[in-house]
Amino acid sequence: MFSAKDRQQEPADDSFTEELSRLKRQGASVLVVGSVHPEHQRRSARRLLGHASDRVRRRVLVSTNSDGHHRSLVDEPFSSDPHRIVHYESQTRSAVAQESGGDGHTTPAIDDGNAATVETLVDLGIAISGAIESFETDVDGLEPSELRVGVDSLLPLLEDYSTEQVFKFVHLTSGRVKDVDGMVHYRLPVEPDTSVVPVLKPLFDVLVELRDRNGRPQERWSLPDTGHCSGWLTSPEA
Amino acid sequence: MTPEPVDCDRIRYPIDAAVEITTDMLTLSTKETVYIRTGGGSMLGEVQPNEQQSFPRGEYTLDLSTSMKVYVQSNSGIHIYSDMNRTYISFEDPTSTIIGARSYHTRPAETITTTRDPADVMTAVSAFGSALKTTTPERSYPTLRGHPPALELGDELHIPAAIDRPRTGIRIEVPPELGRVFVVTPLAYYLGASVTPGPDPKLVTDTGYTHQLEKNGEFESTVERALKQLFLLDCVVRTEGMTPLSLHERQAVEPVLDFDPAEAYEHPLAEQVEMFLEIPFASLEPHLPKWQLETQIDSPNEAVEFLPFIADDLSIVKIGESDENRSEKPQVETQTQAIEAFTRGGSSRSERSIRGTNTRAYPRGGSTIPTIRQRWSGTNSSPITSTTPLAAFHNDIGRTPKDGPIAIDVVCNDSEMNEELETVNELYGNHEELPFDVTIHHNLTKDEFERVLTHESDFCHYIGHIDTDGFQCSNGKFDAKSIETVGPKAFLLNACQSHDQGLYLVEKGSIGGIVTLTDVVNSGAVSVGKTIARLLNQGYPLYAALDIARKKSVIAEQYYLVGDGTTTIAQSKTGVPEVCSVAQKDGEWKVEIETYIGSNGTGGLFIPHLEPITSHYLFPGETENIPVTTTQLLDFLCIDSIPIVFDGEVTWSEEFLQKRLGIQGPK
Repeated sequence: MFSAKDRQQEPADDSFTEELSRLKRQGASVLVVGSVHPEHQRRSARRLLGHASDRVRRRVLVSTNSDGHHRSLVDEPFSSDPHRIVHYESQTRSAVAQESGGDGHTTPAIDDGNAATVETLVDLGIAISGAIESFETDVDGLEPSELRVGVDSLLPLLEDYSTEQVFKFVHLTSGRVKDVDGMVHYRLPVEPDTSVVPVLKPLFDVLVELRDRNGRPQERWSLPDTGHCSGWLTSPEA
Repeated sequence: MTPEPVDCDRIRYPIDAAVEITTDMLTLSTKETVYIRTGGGSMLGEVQPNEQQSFPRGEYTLDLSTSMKVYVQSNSGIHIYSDMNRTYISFEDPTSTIIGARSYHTRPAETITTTRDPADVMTAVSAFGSALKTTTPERSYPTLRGHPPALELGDELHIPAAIDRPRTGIRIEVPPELGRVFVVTPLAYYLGASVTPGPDPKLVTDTGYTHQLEKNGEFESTVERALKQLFLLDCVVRTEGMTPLSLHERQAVEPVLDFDPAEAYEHPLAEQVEMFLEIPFASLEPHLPKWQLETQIDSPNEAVEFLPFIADDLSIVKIGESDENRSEKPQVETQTQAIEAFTRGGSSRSERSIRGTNTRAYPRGGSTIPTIRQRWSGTNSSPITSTTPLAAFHNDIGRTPKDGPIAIDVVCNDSEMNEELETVNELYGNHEELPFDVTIHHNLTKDEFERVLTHESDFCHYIGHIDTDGFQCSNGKFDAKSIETVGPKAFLLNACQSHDQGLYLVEKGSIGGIVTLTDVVNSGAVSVGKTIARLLNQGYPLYAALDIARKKSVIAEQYYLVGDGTTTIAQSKTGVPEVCSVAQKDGEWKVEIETYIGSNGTGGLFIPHLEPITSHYLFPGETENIPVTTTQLLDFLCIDSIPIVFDGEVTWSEEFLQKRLGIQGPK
């Protein structure tokens, strides 16, 4: 588990910075856990997607919450940076929508050819890969961490597929992103001690834990491979 | 035959009400273990459902300990036996019999007024032991502890004259800080100890014995270990007292004890504490009762009035670490910058927030009322968390069982979610022995929904949408904040982000409920709603229902509690809410049973009706992995529908019987 380490036991300050900087150059996969207020989760996602940076970012936004009643990652007001949207329609959910004949399908926020809707985990992987490929053909090589991929929740995938299947999907997707030195993050809005977290943990370079203390949003960053761990920090506003 | 109400004094045990009837036979609608005592109160024996026994003419008190304590007193010859479904107590002739009952529910008898000054709070907590009904090891029985007095904040300390503290000769010293006092309060209450200021945390007795309560710089965990250790050994030693039942934990622990339990029982409390604390913790650790509740206090200053309830639950207490002490500024600065550079890089246009600013950006509950966080450890790796305002406890004290059937309202305010409505409608109220009154509501208006929330009922299951403005009704949003008094005892708000609305319901009258903090996918919500409905209907407390739902679906990880997680809406047929893990290896069955706290608290006994089991286990707790024959397993699973974990999947005993053993199980 990601136990809180005593600050005294941590490597010197510099190495935390250096390690993050190395990951930024070489590509990184990030798992964001913690069942906190959705706005707290969205803010963390915006930062991981490089929002409010003056560098151009190319983003793939993956939404797995097909229930049209909620704001997901794809509804975020992003700048004019190039982006692709992939919707995953939870299998059981779409079955319900068809039965009731209601309009259970979400209309992609921007439907100008850069949005795709898929229904299986395999297709989801292909769609993300395809989106990355289209960025690659647009420009002659992506800059380190120019590509940002965000998956707004792994939970519907874990509900529809076995942990092993999701593990494989995350492994392949992260590999694809890191091949072009990109950064991918996955939200898993559950407590860090949920049994699925340690199973998926080996797949990630960075673990971000979110929590709420007396109404104050906090986060803790750990780099499981190197044992680095920040203390609990107050989450930035934006 | 009409039962005649009689005076409670007619039975020698504490009871709430008693009646007299003349009959030659009592039939219990479930299979129960019956305990038999003589007229003088000494234990004669127990009759388990797979046994039968006769007792010659004489005066007897029978103890039927299920979800309520029920005593039967008669003067006759008695024959006790069970068949597949029922337990029978037959008398030689028509006999005049007194039946008395007591609820496990306790409430504070007195109120102490205190300030927030640690010295005053220490004095107040020192009076908590007055609630103990005994200072013998038998106070480890939940029914013999009594509820500590309530606390009310005021200008000065006032302890009512009626409060009489037992003289146990035990003192707990801690530095005069509120957080420290919180941590030792359950231990002080349980020992009838006084709490006084001192430089080092320690337990001191009149005989001069001292036990440090801070070891290796660890205070909270040292106190926790002392409480668990003392409690376990009390449970072992109490088998030498009024109720000499066989106890699994005694058999396990006795080899490492350097005292004789029979002799230890005769010593005064202070000497027992000394004997018990001298046993190395490590040798007892594998046998400790399962402590299912931990309370996290972030601001002790706001939580003083919670103390009696924390003590009553014998909760483990954790004080939130003070952020200021955690990391020094330069460290935080460096880390924040590193993270900032990682996520954004280059020159960032956004400003970083300054550490320490109290950004109340996501207030849970939208109000500033003090809450504590309770963490229930079930059978999963992730504990069930509850945001609990003081009102949850007060509402529990104020609530008396209402007459009539168990009233449940199911509200579905989105026709696309009717699937869940139909499923849960089949599940609520299918309890043969219990009268239920289930009302289904569709697409309610704000007014109609308010009426559902204000009328007194046992449970409200809401299916629909909720956001920061309230519950989605057919003509707009209904905000629970606006309501005066809430009627349902407990609820499930199966909608996204229902935490804050749920907290309002607890503030205004409910005791506890299941809510979500984030968005929930519909398919998962249906399955979670179904599992929870089924378990609540069978007498499982809220936290147990959620624990088992989490075994079924990862989506259930998004559900939380508000208020008291031990709230139940029905009685459990077997008396104890349990989950049973079954495994089959090389043709041999193995069974492990775990129990949850429900209406009865820590320290009771349970004995599963599984044939190889001959001794009692501490409640809540778990049995070891027991090898059973197919017939024994079958007999056990036929008693009641309980959740079965097999091959990592959760199923129900009847489904399991059908699928694995090809047998029609209990309905």
